[in-house]
Amino acid sequence: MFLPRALTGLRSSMAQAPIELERAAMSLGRPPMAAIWQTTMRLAAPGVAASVALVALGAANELTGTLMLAPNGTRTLATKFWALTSELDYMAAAPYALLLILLSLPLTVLLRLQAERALRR
Amino acid sequence: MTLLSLTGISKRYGAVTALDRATLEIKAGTLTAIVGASGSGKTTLLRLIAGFEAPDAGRIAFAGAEIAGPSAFVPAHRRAIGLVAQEGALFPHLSVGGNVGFGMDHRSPDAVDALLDAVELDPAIRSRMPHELSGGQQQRVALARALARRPKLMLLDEPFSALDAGLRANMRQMVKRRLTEEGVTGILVTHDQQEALSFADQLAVLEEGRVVQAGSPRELYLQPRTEMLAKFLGDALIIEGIVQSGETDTPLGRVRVGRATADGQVRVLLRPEQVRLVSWSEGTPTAEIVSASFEGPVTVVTFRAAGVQFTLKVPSADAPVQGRASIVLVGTGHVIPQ
Repeated sequence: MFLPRALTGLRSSMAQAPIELERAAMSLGRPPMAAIWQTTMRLAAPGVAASVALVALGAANELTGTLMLAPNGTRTLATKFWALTSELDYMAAAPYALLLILLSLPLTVLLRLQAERALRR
Repeated sequence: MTLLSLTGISKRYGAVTALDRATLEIKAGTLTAIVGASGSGKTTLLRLIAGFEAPDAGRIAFAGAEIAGPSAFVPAHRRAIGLVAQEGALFPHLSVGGNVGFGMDHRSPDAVDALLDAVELDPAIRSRMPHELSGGQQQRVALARALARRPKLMLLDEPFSALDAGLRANMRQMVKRRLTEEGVTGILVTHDQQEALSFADQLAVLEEGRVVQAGSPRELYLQPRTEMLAKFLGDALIIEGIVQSGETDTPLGRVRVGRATADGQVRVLLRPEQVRLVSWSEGTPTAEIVSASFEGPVTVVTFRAAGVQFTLKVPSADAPVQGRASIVLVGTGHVIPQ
């Protein structure tokens, strides 16, 4: 369900690393796997991290998917919040909402910082 | 001593034949330029020598051992062959120092500084990132990085093509000096014939995946084996003539050719600098000037001689602009083999 989200980040970051870098690393004495690891993978790392963050954010907030696919009795922050708000018990729902916001905050800030860094380049 | 020999190398990509039984020998300590139009297979040849790909047929021997062929394949990282790619291919996530030190077995700041100094860069540049450098600086760092492994052979894949003209000549001289002083054999791939002629001890011309001729720049320039080669290496006047005991009668007058040339109809190559247009005098081969167009240091003169039209670049200082002129031929002509 979150695959497209993960792939966009991964794809663009892999495409940024030209094959010449791998070749340069090989000509500098790195075996092929080490060359790929130290160039393409190294350059893709920020993209991988961003993808992980995006997927984590999506997964934490997901409601419909969880309701449909999770086994009976599974409780997540999102389902709990939804259950309580539908009972109009906003007071009880508030801590869950707050927790969701708090959990998303660090990753959101991180993504924002990265986007700014990418822009400056 | 031969350092690298390529024998009958073929490489195909699907239906496209990139190399077709290419054969070339490179002596230790020399600089070789491989020239050819785009698509002639020169980049493929370089990749095969570097070890990024394996040839379909033929063998490559390096420093006395087979590195690619029917009985062996040595991967790129064990070949001790350096590479400077088209735009440097510096690792963007590493500083200049990190790039230069990448291939060193025992990395030390002093060794990095020494290499930067060797390629005429200020060692203070060490902590900068590649995207903060100019194109020329990037290429110098790429050369320093490749030299760090003390390779026996250095491959240069159009390393100057992204630089502007003045810087290019400068870089070319620096690279040439560096390789010669370090005793590293060099192979330069380029599509710029001027660059090839001025850089190399040996020139090899690729055409449709074959090495059509290899030899000294002077030999290839003055005695090319084919008409196409003659035109590729510079402006060429190719004229019909009839040989009689070592001399050829052409519309431009009488040209000396090699003594061994058999009598009969031939095609003779003259380089434009061998043809001079001087003030007219009686009884000499005559050029009727058709037009002259001034281009600064040279003037492009179109003229007619014995009914045939020629176009020639003449130094502007004494270029005839109208009327007629006498033709004086300098040196010997080269008979292009049929």
